[in-house]
Amino acid sequence: MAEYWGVKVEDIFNTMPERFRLDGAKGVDASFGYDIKDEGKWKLTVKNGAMKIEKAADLAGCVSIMVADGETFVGVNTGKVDGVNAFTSGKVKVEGDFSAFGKTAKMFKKFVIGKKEMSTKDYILDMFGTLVSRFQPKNVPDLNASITYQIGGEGGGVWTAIIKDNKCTLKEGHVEKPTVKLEINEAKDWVDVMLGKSDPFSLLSAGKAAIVGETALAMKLGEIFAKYQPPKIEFTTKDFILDMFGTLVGRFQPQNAEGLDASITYQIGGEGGGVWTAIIKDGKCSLKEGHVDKATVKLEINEAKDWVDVMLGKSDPFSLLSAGKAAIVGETALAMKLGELFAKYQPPASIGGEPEQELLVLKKTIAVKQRFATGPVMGKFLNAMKDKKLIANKCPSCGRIQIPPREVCAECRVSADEWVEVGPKGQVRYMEYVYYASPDPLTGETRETPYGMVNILLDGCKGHDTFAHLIRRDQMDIIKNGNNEIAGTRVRPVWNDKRVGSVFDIKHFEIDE
Amino acid sequence: MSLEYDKKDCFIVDGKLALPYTYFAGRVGSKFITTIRDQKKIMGVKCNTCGKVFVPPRQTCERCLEDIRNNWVDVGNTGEVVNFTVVRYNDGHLPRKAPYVLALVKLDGADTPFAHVLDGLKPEEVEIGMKVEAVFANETTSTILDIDHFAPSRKKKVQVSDRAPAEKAPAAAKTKHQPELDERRKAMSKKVVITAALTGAATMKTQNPAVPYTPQEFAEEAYKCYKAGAAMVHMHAREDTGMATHEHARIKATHDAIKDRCPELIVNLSSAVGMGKTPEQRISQIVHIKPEMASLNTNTMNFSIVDRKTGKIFIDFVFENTFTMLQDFGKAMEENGVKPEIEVYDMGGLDNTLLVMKQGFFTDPMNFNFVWGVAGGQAFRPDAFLCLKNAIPAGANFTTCGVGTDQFQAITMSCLVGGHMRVGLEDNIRIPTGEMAKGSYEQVEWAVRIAECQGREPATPDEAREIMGLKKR
Amino acid sequence: MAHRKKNRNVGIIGIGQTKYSSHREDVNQPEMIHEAVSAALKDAGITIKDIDCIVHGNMELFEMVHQPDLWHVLGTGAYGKDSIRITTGGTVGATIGCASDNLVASGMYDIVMAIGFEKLQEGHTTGGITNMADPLWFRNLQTGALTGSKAYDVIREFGEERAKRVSLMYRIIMDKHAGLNPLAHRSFGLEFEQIDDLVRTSPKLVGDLKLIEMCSQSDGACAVIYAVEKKAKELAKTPVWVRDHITVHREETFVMFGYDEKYPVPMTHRFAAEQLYKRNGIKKPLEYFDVFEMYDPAAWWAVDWLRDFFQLKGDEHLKLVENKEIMIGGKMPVNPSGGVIASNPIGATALVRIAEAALQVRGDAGKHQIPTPVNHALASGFGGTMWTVLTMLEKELNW
Repeated sequence: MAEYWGVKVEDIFNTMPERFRLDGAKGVDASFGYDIKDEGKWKLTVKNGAMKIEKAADLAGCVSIMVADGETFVGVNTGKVDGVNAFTSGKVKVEGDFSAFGKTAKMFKKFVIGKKEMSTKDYILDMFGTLVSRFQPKNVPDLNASITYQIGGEGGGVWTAIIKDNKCTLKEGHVEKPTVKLEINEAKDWVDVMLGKSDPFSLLSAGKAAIVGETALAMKLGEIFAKYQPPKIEFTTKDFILDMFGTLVGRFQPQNAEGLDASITYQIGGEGGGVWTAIIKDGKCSLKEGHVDKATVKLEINEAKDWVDVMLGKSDPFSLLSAGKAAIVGETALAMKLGELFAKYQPPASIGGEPEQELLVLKKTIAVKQRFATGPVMGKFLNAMKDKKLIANKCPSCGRIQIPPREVCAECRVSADEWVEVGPKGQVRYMEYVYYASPDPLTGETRETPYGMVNILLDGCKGHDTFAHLIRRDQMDIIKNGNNEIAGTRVRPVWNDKRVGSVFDIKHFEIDE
Repeated sequence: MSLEYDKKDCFIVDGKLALPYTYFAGRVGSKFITTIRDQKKIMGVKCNTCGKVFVPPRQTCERCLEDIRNNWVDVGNTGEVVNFTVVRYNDGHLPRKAPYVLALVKLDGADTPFAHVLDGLKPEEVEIGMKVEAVFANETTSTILDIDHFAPSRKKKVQVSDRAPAEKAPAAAKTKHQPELDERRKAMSKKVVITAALTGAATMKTQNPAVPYTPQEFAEEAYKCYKAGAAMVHMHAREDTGMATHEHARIKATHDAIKDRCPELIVNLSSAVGMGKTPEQRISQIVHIKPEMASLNTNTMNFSIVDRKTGKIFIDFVFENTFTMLQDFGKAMEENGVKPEIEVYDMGGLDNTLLVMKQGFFTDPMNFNFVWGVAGGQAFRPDAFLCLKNAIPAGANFTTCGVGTDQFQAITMSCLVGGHMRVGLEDNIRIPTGEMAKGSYEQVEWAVRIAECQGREPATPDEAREIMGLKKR
Repeated sequence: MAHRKKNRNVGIIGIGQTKYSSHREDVNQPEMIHEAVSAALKDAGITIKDIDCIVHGNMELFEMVHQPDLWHVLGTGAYGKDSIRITTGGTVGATIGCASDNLVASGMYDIVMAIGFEKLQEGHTTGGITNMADPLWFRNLQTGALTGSKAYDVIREFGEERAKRVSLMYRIIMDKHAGLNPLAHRSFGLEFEQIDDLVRTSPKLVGDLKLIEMCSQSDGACAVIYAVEKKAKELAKTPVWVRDHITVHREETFVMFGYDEKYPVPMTHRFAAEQLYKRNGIKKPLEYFDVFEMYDPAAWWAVDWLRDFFQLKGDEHLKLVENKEIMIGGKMPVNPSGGVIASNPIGATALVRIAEAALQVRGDAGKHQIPTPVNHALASGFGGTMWTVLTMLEKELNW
């Protein structure tokens, strides 16, 4: 039988008796049907404040019947899926008397996902189940994109998030030409990334994942979707009580019980309660369910949940005793020693025994306005660009030609005050083929990749004094680097119509044919 | 370099620097902010070496380079302005529109001031030394702005009489002339020793969240009581879980924390400790720590928890104090320089003491405490009080305490007939209005009022030492 | 440039490092620094009272906290002490080491603690480096420290197949070393069989520089305590002596690209090494040194730089890598710690090179200690466009 978030459809039905709420069932005398696709049919009968659930071949006589698929049914019952949305979208249908069916909602306490560890598959399902709700349109207004997650290994699958008109929808499987595709070899690695135990760069570095398509968009995923928060697994009072007595013998401290021959009965009332007796003799402790004859001391606790609070340190025995919620019968002094006889109860770590502290993170883009003075040398160079001219200055000592110009030649430490016009055409000496999407520090926006940054030896320049700029995107793949023996691709600047004296008065360079 | 160059090509280029940053507050910083956000409470950390309480908290004391990350103390939400400035320009990154006041606020329980917005008054009304309190943000952001701002304290605190003993009475009690001694006695008879019993063995945080458990909490609570007018604190040390403890290390840490915070204060420990402790556990800690004073219990009695309305017995417990224990404990205390505070739960207990004292080991003056309202002891009655007062030896001092509503009735009576007063959360979790006490200190404030109504003044700790015959510090 | 012998000898007496990681959400900056500071004090067996001066360094633009040494007093222990802050780019860690050495050698202080740190997860490393470029021109074009030009040069000189394999070979050796260093940030467990696969599949960053070949971005701190000879001998079982250090840099931003044999640009690494060896009378550095902790920001650079640092010719440097002579147990073990490729908290990185070299001299490097005795160690720092710092460490005071 299929599991969703680690829960089977039958788990929901099987736990109905213990989740039954008497006050919610007042005055109800009816049968309700559940028809769960591929899983079967169940019949719930409520009468005189009692209930019965059974698997049924047919649902005749039911006032109303809920029809849903397994995932939706489990999702709604565990709070993973919004019930109203599921109903509105037709994923849940109710046949028959709809208002009568509404009563079933009040009849049961919420189903809490059990104690077992979440599997990789559970996490993956939960991540994609919550992806749409984690979408943050205000961070990416007007984004129009599709993001495919192709996840291999156990628990993997293929999902595509489609973002359009500030809305996000999720679809299972591939789409044609996704904007970006994340290929993750192993689902468990991706779970580690999402839980913050690893980072995407380590996966990419180790070849365990790849990005196909627009890398820049993949880099923005952290902004597009809010951080994934794994569901908190909750323990019921009953689970705690069982765990406490399950661990009691292990927590016994024989060094504090020398010569002690005693029996301690815990008589615990309320939901999840029961009777247990710890028998201590010869430095050993054993536990037995139920009463014994003449217990040395008996703790009478009215409500199991109060005792859980005491054991978890949220309350204390004196408050219970003072409030009349508990009593000690027999040797009070022994009851006072319980803290020495047994080590403190520690709930299992997986359910937050030592609750993981909330660690605060402050994220912000710091933007500072700046004003840069060009000075006379850079100013002259930038001003010349307004007239589509590239000017350099020459070192009177070594003769090197600097572009952009600098006030001095740092090699010779003399003023470089002779101006020469160079270019504007030249040959490519080296092109950086940039795949990595880095932020433009002048705007904070991620640069669009790939792009080519070229070092051009402008006509009239020599040696290593190349000039840096961008190459036309569609020509990146045909650029040839050169050196002094072999000429690189010839290029020319493409000027902007409006020129203000800036690096981008030249749009980019292009091949000069 | 010459400034005479051609500037015609110089111009200014507008730029911007914009990058994403992600700051981690770390464990200490996160706890500081989440406590403000979720509990509306300001916490600091204390360095146990130099004694400083830092707000905002830090992992390390930069002076002592000690790891102090776990030494959390509640510093309270009120404090005073130690300095301020008025911000008179507007800028996007500022938290308020100008003009606003940026103040350095030293919180009552902290040693370091920290900067925040002071609002709710005009800039010209701000004064150094003014009392302010934190106003928490409705919409939280998990930042320091979860304290929205500080504002002048709305409620005036109960005024405590000015405690400047050095001016009122000569510090040294050199007594050459009879008239001077008479004067002094007269002066001292006006003084009332107020004791704050910070915890017993059974009051818990669930009953009143101000009940201290950790040494730091004890120290802060003691400090507040001292500020309010108490000369002595009495306490039963607790584990972090709130259970009463007989562990020497924990009791000593608690005792020392109080002495570190207010060295002047008298600390009075319990030789009862809590239910189920052995005689050895009860007295050895006193001998080990040697406080200035300790309780000495006078009779074996029922000491139980019984429903006051229905009479149902919740805990039935016998508090064992045999003659032998009274003798051994009393001797141990006197031999170790610990002044016994003799706890009298009924006339029988007093008579037990009068019998044993014939052995002659008690030093004068003896100090009695009349305890009222224990389930197993006697309830407060004015005539019973007079009976006890008249039966103690001449020259002995007496103070009193009462459980629950007996507390304020008994101390009013004691003050009236020349005795002293003990209040505190050990005995009662409320103030006379029926409201939950904010701490033992609030009961001390009420005790001060009662004394003032009767023309008496709270004794300073040194005056109390003189009255009760404790060794000079 | 006159170079004088030191006034006083200086020894390293304490070393402290944090774990290098990209997940230090549990501590803020001073808290993380304090971990290294207390470890160094413990290592030296002294308290903060014994420290006369603190030299603090990182690159402010990475975390955008300016004058961080003020805030960091909470963790550095500089309260009420003389303290100096230094920022020189990637070389910060090496420069604070030089400064500490100079401060003690000069007679100014007897014991100085150098602290380097970075919390790169708090900012954007590449964006930060880009911000250091000329705002009027190159900032618009640069991609931080990422460049494929060195890959281009090596490929052009030695052919594509050999070049790409040697770069990956270097990378995997570093990964194997990192696997022996519990403090290392990245340790993937790579095997030599994966070379061909990784050449093909590792995502490209810039040109032929692949993600696998680039250094990590780490959080971490390192503290090293320098003491005057007399105190070093009193306090430390094995003081590690700082024999000499040298700093060389160039102004250039532009000529790094388009390297051409016909127009040789004096490279700072080669130049610095030459000067250092000359004034210390070292003829054959490859034989003289027992271990080398190199600032290796990327595998391509690392391979090429071996030639500069050891004054090699032709393809000798490639052979060192190909024959695994740079592995622990080889002729010239390079970065037994895993190097910068494994762990790179930038402001601490170059100081970590000195610290790790010193640990090798002391024989205290644990699982990544090289098997042969270490008497002479070399550590390098790299930053800016072309900025080199070299530090020589010795076991004996006998030069």
